[in-house]
Amino acid sequence: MNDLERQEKMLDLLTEKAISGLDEQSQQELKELLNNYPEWHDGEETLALTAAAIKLSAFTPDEEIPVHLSAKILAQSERYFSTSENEGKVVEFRPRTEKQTESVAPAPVVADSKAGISVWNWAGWAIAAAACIALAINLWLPRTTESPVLTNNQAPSTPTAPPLPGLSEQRQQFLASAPDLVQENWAEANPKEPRNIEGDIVWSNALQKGFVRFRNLPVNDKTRETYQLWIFDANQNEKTPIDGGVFDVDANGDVIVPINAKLKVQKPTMFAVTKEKPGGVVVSDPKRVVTIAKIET
Amino acid sequence: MAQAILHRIASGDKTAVQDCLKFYGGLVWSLARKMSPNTDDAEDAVQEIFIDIWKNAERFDESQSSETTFIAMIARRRLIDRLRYSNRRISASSLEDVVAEPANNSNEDLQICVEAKEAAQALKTLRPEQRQVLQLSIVQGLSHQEISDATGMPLGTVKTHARRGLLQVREFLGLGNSNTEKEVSR
Repeated sequence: MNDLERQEKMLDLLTEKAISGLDEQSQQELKELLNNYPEWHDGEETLALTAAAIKLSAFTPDEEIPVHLSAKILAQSERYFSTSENEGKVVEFRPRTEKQTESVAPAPVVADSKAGISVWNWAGWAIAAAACIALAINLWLPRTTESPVLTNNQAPSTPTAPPLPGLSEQRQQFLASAPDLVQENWAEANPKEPRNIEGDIVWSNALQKGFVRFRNLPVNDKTRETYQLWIFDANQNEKTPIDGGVFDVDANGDVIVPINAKLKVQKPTMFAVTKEKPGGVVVSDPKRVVTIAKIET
Repeated sequence: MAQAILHRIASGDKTAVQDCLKFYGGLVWSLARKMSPNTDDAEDAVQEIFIDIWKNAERFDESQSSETTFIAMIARRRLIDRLRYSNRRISASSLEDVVAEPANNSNEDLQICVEAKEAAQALKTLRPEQRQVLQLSIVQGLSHQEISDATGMPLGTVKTHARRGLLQVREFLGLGNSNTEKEVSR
C-alpha cells in the first residue's frame, strides 16, 4: 500500500469503529496504521463523538430508567467509590437499596402502590395541612428574622452541636451555585400538637439537588424507625409524592441531610417528613407526618 | 456555573453518581432498550455502561462536547461491543422498511443537546447518499454490508460515503483539526 492507500484504510477503520465497532484483527491493524499518522491519534474519540451526536440527532429518550435498576447501580457505585465519610456529621444519609426496600416495606403496601391505591389520601391531608401553614409561618417568622441562619446562609450554631464541615460546606456551595433556589422553613404539621422543629429546606430544580436542615428533630431509634422525606410535585399525583430518601438522627443538635429524590422533581409544592419503619416505605400515613414545608408560589 | 457531573464523579464525589443517574439514566436506558435484544440484556448493558462512565469520567472534556454526547458515546461503544459479541443483526425482512423510511427526527425541539442539533444540520449539508448511509448505519444500526445489500450500492461505495460523511459532520461539529481537514474536502 502506498501512503494514500494506507491513510484511506486507516480512515475506513476509524469510521467503521465509530459506527459499528471492530473485531480484534481490525483493531490491531488500526493501531499499527495510527502509528504512522500522529495527527489522527484523537480520531477515534472525535469520530465516536460525531457518531454519538448523529445518533442523538434522531433519538429522544422515551423511558425512565427502572427504579430497581437505579438501585442496583447505586449499590455498585458504593462498592466502586471508596471515599471516606464526612467527619462530624450527625446524620448518616443512607440511599435505599432495592434489597432494603423489599425487606422493610410491607408487601400489602407495595401491592397497593403498584395498583395505584393509597392507604392514605395524601391530597386530603395536604389540603388540611396547608390550611395550618399560615399560622405556623406567623409563629416562625419572628424567630427566623432573629436568626442568622436564614438571613446570611450561615449554619446555625448551638452549644451542644458538633461542627458540620462536610455537609454544611456542601450546602453552602449549593446555595452559592443554585440558579433557581427554592427555600422554605419547616412548619408544624399539626399546630395543635406542636413539635417545635426548626430548620429549612433548600432545593434547585436545575441542579436536581437540595438539602434539608433541622433543629429539635428527635433522635430516632434506628432499630425501630427512620425518618423519610417526601416531595410533592405539581406534575406528580398527590397521592404518590416522590420519595426523597431516608435518614437517621444520631445526636441532638443541628442536622443537615442531602435530598435524594428518586424521581425527577419538576415543580415542588411541598416537602414533608414522616417517621417510618427502618428502610422507609413506599406509601406513608398522615399520622406519621413530623413536619412540613409548603413552597410558596 | 455548576461543576459538571462527570468532573465531580472523577473527583470521587459519590453524590454525583446519583445526579448522573437522575440526569442521564433515561438516556442510557432508552439507548440500551433500542440496541439490546431484550430487557434483561438491556439491564446488564446499562450496569456496564455506568461503570464505563465512572471509569472514563476524568477524560470528559467540556470544551469538546456536552456531557450528554460524551455519555451517549460511552453507551454506544458498550452497546456495539455487546451486539458484536452476540452477533445480533436486524432481520433481513425489516431492511426494506428501514431503507424506505430512514429515521429522521425533524423536530429540533426534541433534540437533547447542542451537538445533536448541529449534527442534524450537518446531515442536511451532506450529499443524499452520504446522509442515507450514515442514517442507516448509525441511526438504524445496519452494517455496511446490509446497507449495500439493501440499497444496491457497492460495498466500497458505502464505506466511502460513510467515511466522507462522518468526517464532514465531525468538521461541522468542530471536532476536527487543521491537519486532517484536507481529507474531508477530497
